[in-house]
Amino acid sequence: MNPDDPEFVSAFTAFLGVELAESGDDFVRLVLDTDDRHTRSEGDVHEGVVLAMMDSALGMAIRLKRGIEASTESPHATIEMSASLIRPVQPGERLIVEGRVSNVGELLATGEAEARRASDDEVVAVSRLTFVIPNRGG
Amino acid sequence: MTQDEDRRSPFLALVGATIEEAREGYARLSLKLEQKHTNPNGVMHGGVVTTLLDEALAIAVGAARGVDAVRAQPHTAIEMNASFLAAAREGDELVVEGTLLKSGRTVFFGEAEARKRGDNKLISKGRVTFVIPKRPA
Repeated sequence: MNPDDPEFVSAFTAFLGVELAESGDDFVRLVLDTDDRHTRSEGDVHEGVVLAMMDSALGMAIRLKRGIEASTESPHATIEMSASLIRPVQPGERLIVEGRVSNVGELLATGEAEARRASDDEVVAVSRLTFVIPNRGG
Repeated sequence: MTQDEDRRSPFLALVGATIEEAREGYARLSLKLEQKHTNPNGVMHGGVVTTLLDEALAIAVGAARGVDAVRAQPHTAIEMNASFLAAAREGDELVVEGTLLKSGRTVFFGEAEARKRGDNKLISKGRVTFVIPKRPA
């Protein structure tokens, strides 16, 4: 599997309508053209959409960094996430989320994700995430 | 209030969660996990549970403030953190409870946890802080 493979994007991320825009050695950039399905009762885009995209972007970036084979054999999983939610997003706006790997160790992988509005390039949210790489050796 | 589907946000409805209870400072949601809620490893995507932790507390804040106050000036999440303690899989049912720790005039602090229905296993625990933004002049 490689970043061009449709299965590289998780079922939940695809369900939301998120697409892979770009990937590199230590980053993944996702985009979502938001619509009314993604909203809170108040009408703006639900925080959960942004949080899910940030988790996904970094999880995918770590997959590329570790290699698909190693990631499939011993899948990393999010264990900690903290996020600051800075600005609202209105449905119809394009969200761009970039996850960037800080470090991949034997046991843990860490990194940051940032969400921006495409319309004005303003930061919508920032987050830090830690993933564990389970020891499958027993 | 129980089973009040009308209070669901469009995104909560899209995810497929149910509001089981909402009262002042407390809300309980549930979600039966389907394949669409998973990540490439076949376990629940972290974004599903962060959505539910956030939403349970947003509803708890709303129930504490009252419908009119929320309509006049909606609250919004500004900070969240979550620990993911165990995996959940397709077929599992999540129960998410949000409880307010403090209701201020401007800031609301809450904590929420997600457990698996049946064995009550703790899946995720989080804290979310909300503010009532100042109205634009």
